[in-house]
Amino acid sequence: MAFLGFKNVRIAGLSAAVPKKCSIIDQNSIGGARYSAEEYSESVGIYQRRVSDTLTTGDLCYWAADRLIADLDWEKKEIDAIIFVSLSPDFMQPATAGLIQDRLGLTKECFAEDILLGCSGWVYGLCNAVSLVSSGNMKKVLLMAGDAKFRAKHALDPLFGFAGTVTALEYDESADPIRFHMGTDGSGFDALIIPDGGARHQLSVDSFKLENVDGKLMHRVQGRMKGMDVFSFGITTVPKSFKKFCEHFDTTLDSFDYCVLHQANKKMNDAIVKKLKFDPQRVPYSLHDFANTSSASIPLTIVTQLKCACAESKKNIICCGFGIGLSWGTASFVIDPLCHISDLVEVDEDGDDKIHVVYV
Amino acid sequence: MNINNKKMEELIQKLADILEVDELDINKKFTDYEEWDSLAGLSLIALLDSDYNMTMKNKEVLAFDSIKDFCEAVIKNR
Repeated sequence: MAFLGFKNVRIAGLSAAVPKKCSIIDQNSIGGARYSAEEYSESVGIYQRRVSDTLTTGDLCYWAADRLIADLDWEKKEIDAIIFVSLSPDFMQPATAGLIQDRLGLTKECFAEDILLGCSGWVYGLCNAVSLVSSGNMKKVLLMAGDAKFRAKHALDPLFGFAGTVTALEYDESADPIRFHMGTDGSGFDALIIPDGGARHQLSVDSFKLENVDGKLMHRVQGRMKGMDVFSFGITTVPKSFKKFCEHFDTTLDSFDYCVLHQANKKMNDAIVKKLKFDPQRVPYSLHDFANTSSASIPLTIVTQLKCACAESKKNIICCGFGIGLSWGTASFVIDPLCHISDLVEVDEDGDDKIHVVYV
Repeated sequence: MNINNKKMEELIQKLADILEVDELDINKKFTDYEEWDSLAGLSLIALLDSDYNMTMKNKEVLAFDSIKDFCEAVIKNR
């Protein structure tokens, strides 16, 4: 049973960076669909999102970290680890965490690793990061999570937006516990998948031939999704995970001030909230402005929707990340007025990494 | 009218609402309807979950030879 609880760790700060460039959902962005852009937005809950032609997840996380480190007034040499969660790393190899360690000018005595997860990724990354700090072996750790520019060019799915987030964790013996319930069902591996470009189906010229996938022309280095299957997974698995979490840790959903769900789409999240019988007023959304931002969605929602509330008084938060894998994770934690939530960072198109470029 | 017929009628009405048609020809398949798209699919999954406490995969939904067969399977399964 994947239940975990950790003491001695507080969330010291949160930040999020998005491209400055905004893309409104219009008929053009939803392609040849039968429904109108208005119908799409109303049903899915997405009206605009941030996109970029140049910025990678590494870039956005770098700028979010740059801001948060300054706001927290942390010494760079004190930062013990970077955990970078993304499905769109800067390079196929090496890991992006190392590039960010160098770009930020952190010490070489730095633990740095990538985690290849999407919608559940922030919760998984948090579990990893918190476990490093809880023992006291590490005092300050940065968790970075998000998705941005894709591995190959293709029309952007209107469901997804770009964002990079940073969560700063600090050793603190007076901190409230951080708790987790995690799960995986790899039999649903192809519910969301990029077929080519890994070792299983190597990249070839054929990878870029367009094929008809449910009425849309797509190449094989492009993400494809079985929407109905993901939807039924979400509305059944998420309520079950919350229920197990509450039973195991002897708590109730109602005892939490906010329930922050991965921003999948409005129809799905509304269905989940209805099943949970949780007060919808206490379920913040960032979908409308930023779309589904993969592993960034939970911290981005806290940064953009809960900054004021968390600055007023201590808030108990329960969250759930769920999706590609299939993978899910529920976590509870506290955000109090001592936790610094930075203002949203907007990054210009030329904010890309100019240091780590490979010239042939 | 027996109870299953009534349940069947209710389900057919709900499906007609999802597909936004006045009258549903249950001998047709979902994909025969121009109104069947990914958003309608999500509504169908939500309906199965909330009103019939069951889940179905996309493939399973589309494997039925007719909407009638689908409805019978849902009512039986309930």
